[in-house]
Amino acid sequence: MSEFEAALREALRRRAGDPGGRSMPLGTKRRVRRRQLVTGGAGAAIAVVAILLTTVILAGLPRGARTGPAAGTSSAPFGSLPRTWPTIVAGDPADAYVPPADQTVVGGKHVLYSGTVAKADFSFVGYLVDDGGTGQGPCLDFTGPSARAEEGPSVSVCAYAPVVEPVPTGADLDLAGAGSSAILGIEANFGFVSARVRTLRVELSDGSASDVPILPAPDGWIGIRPFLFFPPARLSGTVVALSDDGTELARAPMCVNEGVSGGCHVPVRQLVSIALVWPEVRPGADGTPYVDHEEGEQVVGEKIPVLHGEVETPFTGGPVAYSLVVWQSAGGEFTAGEVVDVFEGYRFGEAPFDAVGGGSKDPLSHLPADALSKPVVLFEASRLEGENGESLLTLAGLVTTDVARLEMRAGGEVRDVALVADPLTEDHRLFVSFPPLDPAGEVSGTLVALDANGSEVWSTEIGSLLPPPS
Amino acid sequence: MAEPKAGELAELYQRHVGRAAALARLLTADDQAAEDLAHEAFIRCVSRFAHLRRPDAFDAYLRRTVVNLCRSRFRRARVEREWLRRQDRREQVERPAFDPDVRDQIWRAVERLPWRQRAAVALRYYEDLSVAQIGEVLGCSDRAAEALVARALVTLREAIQEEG
Repeated sequence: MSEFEAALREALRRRAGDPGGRSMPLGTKRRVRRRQLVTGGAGAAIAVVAILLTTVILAGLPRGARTGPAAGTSSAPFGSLPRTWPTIVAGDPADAYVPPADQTVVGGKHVLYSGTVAKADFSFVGYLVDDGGTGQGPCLDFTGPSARAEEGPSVSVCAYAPVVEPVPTGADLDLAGAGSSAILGIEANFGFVSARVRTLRVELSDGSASDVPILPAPDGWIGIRPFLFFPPARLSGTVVALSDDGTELARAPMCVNEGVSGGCHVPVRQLVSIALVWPEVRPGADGTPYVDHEEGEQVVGEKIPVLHGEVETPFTGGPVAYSLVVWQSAGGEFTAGEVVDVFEGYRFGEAPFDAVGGGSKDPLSHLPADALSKPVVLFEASRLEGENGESLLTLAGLVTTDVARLEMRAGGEVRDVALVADPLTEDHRLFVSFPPLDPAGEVSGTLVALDANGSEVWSTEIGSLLPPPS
Repeated sequence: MAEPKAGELAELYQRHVGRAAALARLLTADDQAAEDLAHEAFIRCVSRFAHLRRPDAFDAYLRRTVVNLCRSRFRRARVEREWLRRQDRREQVERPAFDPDVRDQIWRAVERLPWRQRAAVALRYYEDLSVAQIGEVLGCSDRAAEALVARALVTLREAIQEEG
């Protein structure tokens, strides 16, 4: 080592400080307990992406009056609304009123938007609640409008009970309102939409229609996003939630100011049933398959990537990388023979598979003696759940030469499962599949193997393979 | 392997978090942020303890998580700095004046290194990792890791010469 390198080492050691042992603070113990990660079956593991979306939202907003819009024009993201709508000017989130949090609030309350509407002050706050029982999920507080937000009514709504049809498990839309007798004509309409809502449209009694902004989901909100708007005074209307293809998913009557201070919570008409959601699988999207090397492995030749890519659903909270690698073991930690390595994991960095590894390595020699006499052998059936409700189901296995096609049948749909050649043998092919699940995490459907004549040679109920949601 | 019990957790914490925080200090140059990131990394790793491929390699997983979290923070900070720069140039932070101490000179130069070079230097000269291990943590090949360290040394030497 050169003198310069020695100086560099010393500089780093001095800057890093004393890494000596320390006892765990109480807060960290609580956070450890709260962070639950459940894996079922032969199980792989997932990590949870913790991206401070709230910070991003706020960073993207104008700050205070110095960056406010021109007179009569609202701040982003409300700037595209007609000028006949109340003018919204964003304020500094640091100055916003935040209602007190009780002990059930997890991670504090975060300002989603604040400022003035028609020159009256308001704040819009989001947070997560966990009361230790069934009361778990996102909530919103709207406070105002008033000369000072905290002097106005404060209305809270949550996406779980006591809402009759919570978003996203029972409905695609939940709508609440808040108004004040002191600020006539102004009524905040706010609430939640599910992940499959692309557009939120307000149809007014004057015959006009406008799309109102849906705000990005704060950290920890999976499959659900908040919205807020202030309709023009003296008009009634209907709020319509639309899907990607313009299908009307749900409708609700808009809340209007009736000269009384307080909240409004309207019934929602769900127009399209809450259906199974099929994961979007992007083969090869990940770029690089996960190939690790552990002590004690005796690999003959090289490990061979067979499949890799990304899978995502509204309930995974982000893309999940997956890969399937095979290798020949000469013994050691894994008994001699073929080993199949299935990996799944959330990425939180820019490098390929920048995630703490999870997954399983399955020596095929460990399979029961009669396993390969069946057309399909599953060596992974897992339900992965993160602390914020992230959920992903995975089935992986092999099919023998008796099988020509493998199908997943669920919710009235039939989808092929890709079968990939195993470079180590012609006796079987491999697959990784991700069954659909509904917003409550329930799964139903059948995995069916067909021979070259299209006859069913094997099938199994997917639900029976996977543990129920926690 | 089962999830760690309370006593094991405390032992894991005592054994690993100090060093994780030290590494985070090198990567972020922000003591408070480093503490937060080290704790976050610890919590993430502990929650996956039962699922780690090699539970005995907790320190390696923790180190990698620290690096990943610091990298995410670095990217966010870069965006925030750009935003602030556009909004108000007066908010630019002035760099400290020349300091004759060589170690301080080196540290300032380290702070200015591109993220991956800084991480490679910290892992090589603080964590004493091999280039293969650095490559594993940073998600690149051995050769790329070696090149990162080499480039960082050249950059540091040039920076010291310029300042000196």
